Amino acid sequence: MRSVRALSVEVIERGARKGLLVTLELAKYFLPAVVAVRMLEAWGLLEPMSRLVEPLMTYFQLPGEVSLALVMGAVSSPYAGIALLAALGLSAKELTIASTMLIFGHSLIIETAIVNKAGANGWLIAGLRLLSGMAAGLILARLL
Amino acid sequence: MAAGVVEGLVSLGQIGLIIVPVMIFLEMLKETGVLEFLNRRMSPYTRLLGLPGSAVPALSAGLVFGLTFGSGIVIQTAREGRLTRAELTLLCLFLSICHAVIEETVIFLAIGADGLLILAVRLVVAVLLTASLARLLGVLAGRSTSVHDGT
Repeated sequence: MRSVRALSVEVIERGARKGLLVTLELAKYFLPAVVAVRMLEAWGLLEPMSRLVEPLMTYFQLPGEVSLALVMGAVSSPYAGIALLAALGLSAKELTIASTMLIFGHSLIIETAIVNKAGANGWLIAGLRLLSGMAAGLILARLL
Repeated sequence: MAAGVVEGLVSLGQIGLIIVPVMIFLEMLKETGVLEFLNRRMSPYTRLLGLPGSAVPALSAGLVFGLTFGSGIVIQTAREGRLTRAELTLLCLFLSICHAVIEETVIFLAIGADGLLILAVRLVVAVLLTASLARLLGVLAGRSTSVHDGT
């Protein structure tokens, strides 16, 4: 009976071994990426980066302060960006546009490292995420 | 720096807590033949994205749990030799744009954004972009993108 064999110790062990090995494999790329992100934050590099993209915000019909949330999201995590967005007191439309852009381009350092590790072309993917996020932001800004 | 290492280790622990049970579950599905059945049934849909049916476990894990977990399954699938580099890029492109959809949609709803609209935009863009890149890569490689079937 195949269904009985599926619950055997051997199958469970094989799955657990694969899971642990893959987690260790991820660690080699994940840990340096997390440390790099924390260093960028600690050195206060996010604010200057956000000032660079601030002039672009008008194209997305967003106030300039949103640029810091988008940069925080792109560099560290979407949650860092979302927390800041929530604190800015934006309209529902602005929130939806900014959140869409954030969701396309977030955690780029960590996720590019992971995706490269998985054997994909992470740089191409990161570029496409940023471009498609900006395109979606432009379209929503016109439509909403 | 030290805080980053600690934080990274904690996240890795959480990743392991999800990846290990998912892998065990996948092994069980494989043993019973359910996985093969699912891969075959889903391959007409995955082929739209230029992917073989064997991408189904990675796609599902990524959509539900997130990119890091999904890519754990991607790594394993690649290790078993079931995906080409072009297919890996297509799979990761789709998952990079569209992942952890339940968790992230709920969070956006919570802060007052239109979470469902954002989810719809993500899905549509991810499908269009992945399908287009699949065609492009297929043309560049001078062959059809749907050479793979099932496993």
